[in-house]
Amino acid sequence: MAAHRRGADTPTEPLVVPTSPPDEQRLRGTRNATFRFRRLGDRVLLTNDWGRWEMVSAGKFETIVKGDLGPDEPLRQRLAQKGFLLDEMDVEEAIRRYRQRHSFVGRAPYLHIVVTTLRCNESCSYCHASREPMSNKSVDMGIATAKQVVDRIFESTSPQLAIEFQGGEPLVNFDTVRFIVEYATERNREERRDLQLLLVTNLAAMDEDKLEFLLAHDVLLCTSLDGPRELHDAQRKLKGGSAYDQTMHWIERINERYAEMGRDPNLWHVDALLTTTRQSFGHARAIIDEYVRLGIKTIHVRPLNPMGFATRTWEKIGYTPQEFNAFWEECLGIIVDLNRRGTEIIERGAALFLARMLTDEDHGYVDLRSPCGAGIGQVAYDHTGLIYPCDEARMVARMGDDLFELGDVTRCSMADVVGHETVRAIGVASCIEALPGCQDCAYQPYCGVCPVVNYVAQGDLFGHRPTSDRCQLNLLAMDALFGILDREDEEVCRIFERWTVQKARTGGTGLEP
Amino acid sequence: MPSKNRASASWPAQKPAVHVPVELAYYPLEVIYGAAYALMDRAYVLLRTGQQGVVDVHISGKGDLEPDHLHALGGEFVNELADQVLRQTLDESGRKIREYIVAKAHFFQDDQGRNVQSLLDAAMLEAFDDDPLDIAVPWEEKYGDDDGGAR
Repeated sequence: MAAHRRGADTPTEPLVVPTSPPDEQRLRGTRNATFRFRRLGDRVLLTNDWGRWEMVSAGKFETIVKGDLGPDEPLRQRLAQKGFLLDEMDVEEAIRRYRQRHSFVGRAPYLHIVVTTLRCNESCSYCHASREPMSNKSVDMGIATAKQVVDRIFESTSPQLAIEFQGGEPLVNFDTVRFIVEYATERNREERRDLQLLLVTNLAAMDEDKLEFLLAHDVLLCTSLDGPRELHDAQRKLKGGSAYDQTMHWIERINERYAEMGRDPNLWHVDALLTTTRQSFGHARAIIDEYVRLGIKTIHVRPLNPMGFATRTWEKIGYTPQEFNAFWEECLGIIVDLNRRGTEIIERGAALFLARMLTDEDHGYVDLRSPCGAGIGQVAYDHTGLIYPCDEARMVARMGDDLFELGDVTRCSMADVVGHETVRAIGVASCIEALPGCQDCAYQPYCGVCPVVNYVAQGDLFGHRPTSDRCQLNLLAMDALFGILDREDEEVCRIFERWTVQKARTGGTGLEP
Repeated sequence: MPSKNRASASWPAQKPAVHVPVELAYYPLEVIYGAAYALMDRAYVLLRTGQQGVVDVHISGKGDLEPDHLHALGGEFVNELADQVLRQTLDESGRKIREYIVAKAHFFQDDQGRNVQSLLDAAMLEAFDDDPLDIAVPWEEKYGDDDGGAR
């Protein structure tokens, strides 16, 4: 070891000296090809801008690079059909696919996140929204602000509009939720947009009156469920009771009401989100069993958001991307196995990536696109009427940094939002076609970056891919998924294809925020 | 290329390093940058002007590395150089057609993914659907044979 302990001015002996030119013969095949590649063990993944991909052995990869594939080889035919070979490319088909995959680019914001209050009746170790205590009613959105928010939302030219109530806990300021639902519905009679209303709630403040109102207006309900009672209650504290008991009661009650209304349970049910902390590790089976028991059709095994309270509790609840990925892969294995045995349940994170890998559809997910959706696909409104390009940007403001504030609903039109210099800066910083580390990454057609998370975690919008946890998480997830697809297990491929199909509920867009 | 003084100032002192001299004639700076970038999660990579046409690459682990690991890191850098050459060649080969595809896909697209011609067609149809002043209605249909003395 001592022999190597030298400073920069006393370099070690050269390790390898590549003094010969790269072998021109070796590269002959690349003169007629266009692809990005990623080595995965002894396999190599090839992808192109329009989302086609092919996995080959390292040996076959060398054959491709050398241009030694025979004209009748099935692999050559597949590469030609997928647009990897320049002299056999169907350019119009490539344009059509590329256009379809990027159809979001010219659209106006469709996802509108409305924070009706910052108050919350639960206190969670990982809260990224930086909740306020229940007694502080100054953080509720008033009716006048709510009306202006809805008016701004309808200024968007998007034919699809999704209004998502977030918090805090939206149900503790239900008068404002009720007003927005009624006013948006009324405005939509004339506007005739494809309007979806979604309420993200811990359900602890639900009652029968609120529920009947929400059901009558087709407001979709999404809750948080972190697993069995011990885990859920350890992470989510409800003063004077069990958060788990409340959530269980209302999930069952709501699903019962959907059944009474004659709604298809495959489409109409309470959705739930899982927030993974270090305490979740080792409980994958129990968590998934809980979801299955409740008839929940989708589980999104999400990593922690490095914002709000989570930044303070990270030492206790946080983990490395590798640790999270190991847990996620364990969950994915269990869920795929359940599907094999006839239980239809989707892992949402995998489904979002698979939709990009296996289809050309724009599934409306603002995080896996380039540019990202901040300000052009989604807009967030806080309780005071301040506007942010996305919910993460709003959270940054809650952390005391108003860098991403765009204006307020009284003065800032939707056109101002979309054209705002901050939105443009985020757009530029999220065009992964031009980002170091992304521009030659094989996963570029399926991925996206979040400049706001980059800013929080790394101090600038553009970020630094090799040390980005978000980048690591995406790489690890896609490595795992392509590894599974490469095994060509027909049953698993069918399951994965099924996960990419969106089923729209009557009155909704089918878009999932 | 950073000056020697500046580079020395930022280089972690007393870190074990592996040295790879790279000939610029065969491995352009862009290729070297790409290979160095691939190690950024684990290593510090210092590039210094070496002998004529040579860049001296010094690689040192961000954590404490055993000599074997350090050499493996150097080997990884050399392998990455080869892959970066491949990436550069692929980029040059496909750049024009890719730029054409992206430009055409974006230029002729509205927010519903329709191309400009179909958008214009739809606009024309809509224009005739919405005719509150009956401009598109022929004179005879509006006023019959009675010309109201206009002639």
